[in-house]
Amino acid sequence: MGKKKKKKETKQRGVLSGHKKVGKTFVPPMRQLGDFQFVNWQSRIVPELVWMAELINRFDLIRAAELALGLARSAKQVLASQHGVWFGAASAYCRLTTAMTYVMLGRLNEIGLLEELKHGLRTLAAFYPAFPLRLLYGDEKLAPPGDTELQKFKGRLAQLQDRTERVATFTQANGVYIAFDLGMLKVSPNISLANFPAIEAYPASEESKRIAAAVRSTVTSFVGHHHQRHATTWPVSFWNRGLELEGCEFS
Amino acid sequence: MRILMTERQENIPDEFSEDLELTTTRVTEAIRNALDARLAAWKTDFAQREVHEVVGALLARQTTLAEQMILSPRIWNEHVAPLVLRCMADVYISLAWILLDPVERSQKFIVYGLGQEKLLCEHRQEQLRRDGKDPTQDPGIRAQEAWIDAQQFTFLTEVNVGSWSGIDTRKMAEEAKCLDFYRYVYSPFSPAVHSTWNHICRFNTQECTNPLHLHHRRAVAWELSLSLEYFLLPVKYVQKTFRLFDEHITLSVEAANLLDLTHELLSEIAEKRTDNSETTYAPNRDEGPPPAKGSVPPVA
Repeated sequence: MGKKKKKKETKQRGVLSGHKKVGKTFVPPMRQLGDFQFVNWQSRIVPELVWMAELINRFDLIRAAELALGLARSAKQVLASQHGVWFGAASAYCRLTTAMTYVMLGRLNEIGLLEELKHGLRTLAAFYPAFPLRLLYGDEKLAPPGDTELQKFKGRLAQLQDRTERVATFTQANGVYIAFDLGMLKVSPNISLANFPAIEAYPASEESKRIAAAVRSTVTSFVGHHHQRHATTWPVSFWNRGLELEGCEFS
Repeated sequence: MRILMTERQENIPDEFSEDLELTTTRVTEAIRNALDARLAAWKTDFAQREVHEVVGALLARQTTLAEQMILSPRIWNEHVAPLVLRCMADVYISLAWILLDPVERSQKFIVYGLGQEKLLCEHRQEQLRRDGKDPTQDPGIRAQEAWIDAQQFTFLTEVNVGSWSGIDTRKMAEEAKCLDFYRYVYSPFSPAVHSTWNHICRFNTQECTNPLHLHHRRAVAWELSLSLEYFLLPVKYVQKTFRLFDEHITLSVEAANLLDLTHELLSEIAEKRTDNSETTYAPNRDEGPPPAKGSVPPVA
């Protein structure tokens, strides 16, 4: 048996310092640590979290967080035997069967969250037929919201382009809040995320900015992990539907 | 015709077009004179026939490239100008490397070229045979073979499918002590030559700004405005090549400073225009290509 020729590796100095030369490729330091994958905020994370942003835009921060958490808890309860599903991501709700959905809607109704959730997510559900949380509406036919509403929604989506902006930050914070509550995230008392409630002051205090940074990295890893474990077409479907809703804009 | 100057576009008045044409003609004449002066002063020595032929031809090639580019203002844009300028950078690096060991490297250069022609000829013959034709009767093939045979019999000619020098262009530039020219001129123009993403994304796509559309890009065949930078750069590179030649082939040639001449002529145009327009001519003397103008190039 012939020996497999190993690619020569050398550490780079000067230009591209820190990069490792493997064959003809210079590998950046981060990629030397392992097989990292780029989780794009806009293409992959926004479609998963946009539902929580809609709730924040419709209600105040506290009520939006209560509604998102109530929905996530109800979903987890009906999927009791299964662990590790992060219900911060919209596509996580695709895992619910019709029977499970029926039970979950009953619970949400009992605790008085269903109507508010339906009200908060109506625009999204009406514009995007593949939106996983359309299941909240059962067989109900959703009337097309019209162009005025579409322009408003576009504005809200534009707000999410920068993930450090206020609404985007609280949307991501709600995702982390759900992870904490569902027991999927535990942190050491010495790190910034340990004082999670202090994010409320964002962006006014330095501490809130530090927590927001931790929230962003946590959400990225949660979405990346979620997509690795549960294949979904929702992000692609979300952006494809955008092309159907309105034409391109070029300056 | 429209022109891009200091980030602005405007219609070029007719008198400016005429002045520019006059200027480009005068500059190309000066370049041609500079070449002729050198070739005339460099006496042929058959002990170094290959050196004369290769070095002289590369010098003439550089002159041709500069002339053609200067006389074609329509290609003074990011779509086409880099193709010619990268070619000029290639000529400069090859010449610089050859002049370090002119006899041996000129021979190597010729042998490689003959081998390439032989390979092209072989492929063409194969194609003709596939089409049911007799390659020996093809006038193109016969002309190709005759051209090779006149220099070295085809059956004795080796075909080298690697680089002609045996090393890559970067290494050649390093050995010829022009690595900066490689880094800041040859390499920056290469994306346009190979149409890699860092070129075509900037100059052949446009980003959609609709928030519903994930900032996708559509393909666009932009018509770009011309940039005077692309008039100055070929002058700069051809002058640099002449200087390289002068350093190695010691001759007493008095020739005009081509770049100074170009700046003077352009300044004259700018002065003429000052009375009628706010547009100013601000030549950039830095080496290398102008910076990319972002994802949305100016539209003429």
